[in-house]
Amino acid sequence: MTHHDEERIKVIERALMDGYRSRSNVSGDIDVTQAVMREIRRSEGERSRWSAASVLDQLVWRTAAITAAVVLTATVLTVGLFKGPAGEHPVMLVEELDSVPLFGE
Amino acid sequence: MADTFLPVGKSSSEDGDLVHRVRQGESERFAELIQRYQRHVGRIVGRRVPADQVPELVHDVFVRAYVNLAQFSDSVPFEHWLAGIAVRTCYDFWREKSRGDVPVSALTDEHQRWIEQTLSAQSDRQFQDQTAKQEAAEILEWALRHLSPEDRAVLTLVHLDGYSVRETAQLLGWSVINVKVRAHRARRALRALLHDALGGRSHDAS
Repeated sequence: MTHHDEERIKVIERALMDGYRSRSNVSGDIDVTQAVMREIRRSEGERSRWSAASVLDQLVWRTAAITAAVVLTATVLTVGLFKGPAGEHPVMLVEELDSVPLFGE
Repeated sequence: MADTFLPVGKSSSEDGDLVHRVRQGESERFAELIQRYQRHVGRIVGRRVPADQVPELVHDVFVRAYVNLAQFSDSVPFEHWLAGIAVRTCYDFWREKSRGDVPVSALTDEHQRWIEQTLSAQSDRQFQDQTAKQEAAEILEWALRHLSPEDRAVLTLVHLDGYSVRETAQLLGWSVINVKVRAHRARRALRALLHDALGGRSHDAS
């Protein structure tokens, strides 16, 4: 690039920059207030619907978890109750041993 | 020349109060912020994208601002924060556009004539008249379209709008060194494009 080219480029560059800076008032009169607020209301509505749905989801999961816990507890108790007579209770066993006379008595 | 940072006549405490109210759930108060700053945003966006895209992008800037309002901190004026969103929205616009690989149209005979007349301007008045012509905007747009969206964003902010490297880094959310390197590279790319344009003029003329 010669010095002459450099000078010409500088002139064009300056002209383009000055032109850019002089176009300062473009698009100053637009009004997007209504459109933006509509969009915000719509998204807020969606968000509140989504949050109601998520509360419902949480409720269902909690109910399911509590029900599962109750069923599990009941099952364990029931199994314990039915298993009791079949097995030997340690206290009863001791009482039985105490009542049996020893050899020679 | 960085006029996008000029105060728009409202104190930042008023803005802070409005933002606080919107955050507390008074979303309708956001309309006041839009009305207060849409001209400001319109000026920033209007210099960066084609005129027919401006309303849509200004709309997007405010929607983005609303969505990210929780990130606004009182340490910077609201208009600066908003200017950053506006600049990044325009950058995203050009990034999206560059994915489409739209061919850049060549300079026309009118553009070549404008270059010739600008170079041969005899007075400041003649020179200023040239800069005001539509061709000046079109040639600049032609050159910017040849740059990557990153180079375009930095060149526009640093060399055209006159922001400092630090301010540009803040607006784009980039590091200072990245902006510095890009600004240098983008300027060099612009000059190479203008050199080609001038070369084309000489060849056409010969």
